[in-house]
Amino acid sequence: MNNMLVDLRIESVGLVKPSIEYELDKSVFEKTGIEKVNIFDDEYTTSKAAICSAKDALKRIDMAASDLDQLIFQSEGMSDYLYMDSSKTIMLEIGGRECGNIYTYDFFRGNNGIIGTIYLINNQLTGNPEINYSMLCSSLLWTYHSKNRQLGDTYLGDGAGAVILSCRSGGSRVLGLSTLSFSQYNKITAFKIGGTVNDINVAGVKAGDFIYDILDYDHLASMREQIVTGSLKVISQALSESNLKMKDIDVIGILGFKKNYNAKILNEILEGQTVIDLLSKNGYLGSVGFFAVINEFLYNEKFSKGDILLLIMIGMDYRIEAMVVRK
Amino acid sequence: MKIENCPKQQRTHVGIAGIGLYFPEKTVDTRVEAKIHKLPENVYKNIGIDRIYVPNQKEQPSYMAYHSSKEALLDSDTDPEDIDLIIVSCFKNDFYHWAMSDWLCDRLGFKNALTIEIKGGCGAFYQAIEFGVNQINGSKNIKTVMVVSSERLFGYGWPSFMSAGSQAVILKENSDKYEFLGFSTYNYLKYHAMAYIPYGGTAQPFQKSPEWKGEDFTSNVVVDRDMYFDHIKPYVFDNFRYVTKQLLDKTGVNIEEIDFFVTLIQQDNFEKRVQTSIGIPEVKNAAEFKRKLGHFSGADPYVLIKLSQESGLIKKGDLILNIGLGGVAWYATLIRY
Repeated sequence: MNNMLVDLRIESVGLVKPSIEYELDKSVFEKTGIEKVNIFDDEYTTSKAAICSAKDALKRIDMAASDLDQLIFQSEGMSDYLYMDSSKTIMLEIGGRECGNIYTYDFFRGNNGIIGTIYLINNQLTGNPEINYSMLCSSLLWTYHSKNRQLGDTYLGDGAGAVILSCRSGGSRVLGLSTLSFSQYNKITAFKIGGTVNDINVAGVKAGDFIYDILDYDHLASMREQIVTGSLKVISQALSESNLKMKDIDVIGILGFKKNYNAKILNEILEGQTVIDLLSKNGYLGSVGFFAVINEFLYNEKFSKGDILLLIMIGMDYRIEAMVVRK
Repeated sequence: MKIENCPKQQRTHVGIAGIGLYFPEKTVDTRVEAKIHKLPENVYKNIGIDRIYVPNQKEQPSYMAYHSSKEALLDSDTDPEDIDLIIVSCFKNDFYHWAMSDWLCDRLGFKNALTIEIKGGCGAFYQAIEFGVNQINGSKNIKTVMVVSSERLFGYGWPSFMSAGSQAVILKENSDKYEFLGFSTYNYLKYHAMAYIPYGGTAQPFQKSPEWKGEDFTSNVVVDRDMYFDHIKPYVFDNFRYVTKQLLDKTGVNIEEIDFFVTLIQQDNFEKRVQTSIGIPEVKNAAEFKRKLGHFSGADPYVLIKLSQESGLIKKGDLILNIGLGGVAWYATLIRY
């Protein structure tokens, strides 16, 4: 797809970084590049973390929740409750409109699909007269829904983030984006029980099987071979969409799950840019990683107004995405 | 912060270019099931469904979705490479947190499609259709969207009319088969926590409370009956009236112009009760088909539209009003055949 965006703006970002730091074994660091992950304490639920990040985003720009026309919650993790819409809980608790013509959605696009969703939100903002301000948020708590935070080659960190999007003037402009799916490898991850093939049952609960894990190791192995070339393709497409070249980029943000892939990709593209790479101190952040990098870029004073960020997201997933943003 | 409207693209005509359906091979007479479960006669009669579909082990949601999608492609004369976006709306997928949309892309050869899953129950399909229409209206890159639902609800929450099957709807820019005219919703967030499953999520993970009854989720649902009877049930038909009025105001259509009515497949006389509440008790509907179908999902109305069109009940030019609800959200859409 070409010329995908029509004047999309990031109005604000909110982020919640958990307070508990958990250091991983040195062997993990050597294999993955992950030194530690951040963990929410048991006071937090998925919605509570998301609500904090949403309120943070609203507060930054002094926006009332009642001015949001839409709230989308997207997460590969577990919600507060099975089958209950997190988006409705969050919208209610942040002070959004309690009833009426309000759009709330719970989406799923794997653990690396936020940028594609942002493109689809862009189309709503331009195509639906009733949607002018849309919040997208995510929240991940892995203590009880992972195999001790390990997911294939990587280790999962907790976090929550929210972004407010519109197409009005102002805000930080999204210049271009790109998304690439290797759909043939769609079974890399899922929850081991909870679907129709193998539903939640007493034995499975007792065995601790209700966790997010690798479903098909062949799919994972095949996808590994695509990561670097796929990333370069996505980067090229995002730059083309933005009418930019790599030399125009000031900052590269890379969201990956393992240091060697990050290093290979950076090696191919780096031309003196500052790099935001959160892997070592946060672990693999999945959907929340988007908010973490954008938050760092927009609110860390070491990055100046007018700077341009190229964000590349590589998941423990079959999707690779990239976005270019001007501060 | 000053609130401003976004500049909008020129809206295009969006049509429903095709509908594909898949029904499992096996059906069961609900009278037989009622006897097995010792259902009182008056309760059975109120269900109003004679036959429902029973999926076999092979007929998982993805299998059924593959077949309904293929039929939708044929029905709409669409090349797989022309699909720009596939939206799957599935309450209970083959696997929890797995993207059937990408699996369908791979199996059906959608080389150019973006993918997304919209989670939820019946309401999610109404949302998915509206979301798809927004995509076509809002982007010059997206002209053809497939929206798919696929559920194995048979056996859940007996006594009920829950069935199994899949529906695929193809939305296309400028299709004149069925023109999509408008959408409205009433989202009653305040009471959305009416029914939930207490254990398994981050609020009460299994490791802290390993409580699970039976072999599926239905035995584990907790309903706040007070909330339902005090705050939701009394307003069900008020909210149907609300979304109907809102939709007709938006589209400039009068209620007297409605030629055909569809809604979710529910208990006996449900459509008549809704029609009476919104002021069109005598308008034709698709009730004659529902007794042999049961309830699939929020896509029930598209099953009924297709069967009604094939039988000649709907004629060209007819205005079709589709009303439904899912959880605590009400929906209305207007379509012209």
